[in-house]
Order: sequence, then C-alpha cells, then structure tokens
Amino acid sequence: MKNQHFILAILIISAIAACSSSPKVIHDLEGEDYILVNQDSAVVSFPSDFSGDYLVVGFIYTHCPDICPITTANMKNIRQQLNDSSNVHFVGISFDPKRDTPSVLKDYMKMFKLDETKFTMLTGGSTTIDSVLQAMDIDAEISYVDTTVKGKRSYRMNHTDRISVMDREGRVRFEYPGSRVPPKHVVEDLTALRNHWYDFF
Amino acid sequence: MIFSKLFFPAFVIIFLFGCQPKSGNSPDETNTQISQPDSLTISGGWLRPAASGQNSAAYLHIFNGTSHTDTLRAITTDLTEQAGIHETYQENGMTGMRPAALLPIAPKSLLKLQPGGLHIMLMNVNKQLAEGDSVEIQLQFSEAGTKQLRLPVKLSNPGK
Repeated sequence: MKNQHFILAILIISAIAACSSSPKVIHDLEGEDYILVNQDSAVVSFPSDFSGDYLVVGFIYTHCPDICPITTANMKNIRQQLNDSSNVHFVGISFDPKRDTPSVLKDYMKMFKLDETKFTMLTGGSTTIDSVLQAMDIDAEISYVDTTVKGKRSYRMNHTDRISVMDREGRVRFEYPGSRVPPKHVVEDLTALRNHWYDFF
Repeated sequence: MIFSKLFFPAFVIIFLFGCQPKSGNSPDETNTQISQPDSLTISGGWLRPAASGQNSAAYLHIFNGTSHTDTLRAITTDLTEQAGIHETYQENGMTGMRPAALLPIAPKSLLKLQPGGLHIMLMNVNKQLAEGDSVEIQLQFSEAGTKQLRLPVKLSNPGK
C-alpha cells in the first residue's frame, strides 16, 4: 500500500514537472553592459541597470506611424492588465538611433502618455545599438528612401516586430510578435515567471 | 356561435399585431435601417499622435454604396504636403511599409484602412498632433469627388 502511494506521488510530481518546465533561455544577456542613453540623456547600462526587475522590451523607431505605435500601445496594455506591476519595467529600444535622439524619445513618450516611472526609452551609438539588436536577434534595415517636397531625405525601415520578456537576471525567456500578441498572453507568461512557478521544478 | 367563429380569430390577429413594437423593429423598418446608402460613405476615421516633423497614420472605412467602381486617387491636408496610401507588410520575418497603388473600390463593397494594413501615411507633419486634437483631411475620388473629413487624434484604435 505504501509503495502504491509512493509511486502515485512520483507520477503526479512528474506530470506537474513536465507541464511546468522552465521556459528555456532564448538569449542570455546576464552580466552584459551595453551603454545606452535614455529619454533624459542619462547613461543606462542595459540590461544590468535593470537587474532585479522583469523587463518587457519592445523595439521601435519613432518615424514609424503604424506598426511601432501598435507595439507601444500593446506594452501600455500589458502594463494596465498586470494586477501588480512591482518589479516589472517596460523598455523601448530604438533601432534608428540616428534620428531617435533622447529628446525625440522624450516627445514620443509624451505623445503616447507613457508613465516614466514604468517606461524607459533607450537609444545610443549605432555600434552599441547594433550589438544589442544582434544579442536579442532583432533585424532592422533601411528599406525605402524618398525626398520630401522641401528636398529633405527621409527613410523607412524594415524590422523585426518583437516584444521580449526578460527575467530578473537579464535573460530573454519569451518572445512575441510585438504588434500582434494579445496583451493577456504576455501577462500570463509574466505572471508565471514572477510567481516562480517554474523554479519549483 | 357566430362570434366565436368570426370575431375570435379576428381578435387574436388584431391582438398579435397590436403587440408589435411601435417603431424601429418591424421587418421592413429594420431592413431600412441596416441597408447601406447608395452613395460613397466614410466612417470610423481617426489618426495617430505625432510630434512636429514626425509621421502619422490615419485610418478609416470607405463604403462604396453606388453601382460603379470608385477610386481613391489622392489625399490632401494642411498637415503635410506628403500624404498617400501606404501598406504595412510582413516579409522574410520582417515588417515594413511601402506606398500602395491607387485603390479601386468595387460597387457595394467596403475598404478598410486599418492598423497593420493599408493606411493613410502623413509624412513630416508640420505641427504636433496630441490626443484630443482633430485634423481636416480631403479625400479625392474619381467618381464621388472630394470628401472633406475632420478626424480625431487617438492613442489607439477606438474600434478595438
């Protein structure tokens, strides 16, 4: 009888463990220090300065009028749908650092009413931005150049449509199509990660 | 006996018809209400916020209720000298935008300009667009002529 109980307990634990296996590390940025600047021109070491927080990271450029605002709105909706957002921070990284200066990012945050206590926009030198993008598997390239009526050159970009969730050590655990993922999917994954459900197995 | 054979059925019929709602829900009236107009109509328009010098996008629905194809040929607004139809597309795992061809709208059909798809691109806008502002925009059609609209600035899709 005792043996039967023991076997049953093992089976139940195995089944739960199988269903709750920890999400694999997709990209490991633990210990990395990419030196970027935020919307206030303050130096930020990404992701180490956010160590201890779970990060929801979106990739945008501010001259993008369609997809990137959807991604930004999605991040706001994720924030709103979290019952408790303590230890969660939202980061927008520009892949167009030439045009997205800190002041441009500041204006973007005002336009989209992003709470600066919860959201940070990052830009930086092209080389560093490229390194961050490579580390997080984000592609971005100029796709289309035209000239305005006043002779000013302007360009648009092709880019990966992505929101990533990082754990408190700076490791990417989840990736989603940024403009299309329902916010509740991200909230569910983030909640499981924050509650350490995975850590028990 | 005569009453029960003639007047009772009549009473039942009158009673049933008398219980119909007074307005709005009879089959004929309902059909009238949901039927589409015979003209070209535009609805659900809005546009995104943008800082001065940035790009914005406008979205709306165009229903061509006429019996002939119409074409959206041009967009003009005081906001920019460069407004046009663009489309967002997915290709090789990347997302991008490109100018779209002229848009013919078949008779009795609906064209949706919406986030993540076809939209009106407003490049290099000459003033800040904040939530609560509104903007005048003119759409020029081959058949219906020029339609003037005032669109509100919204942070996100009000239709979702």
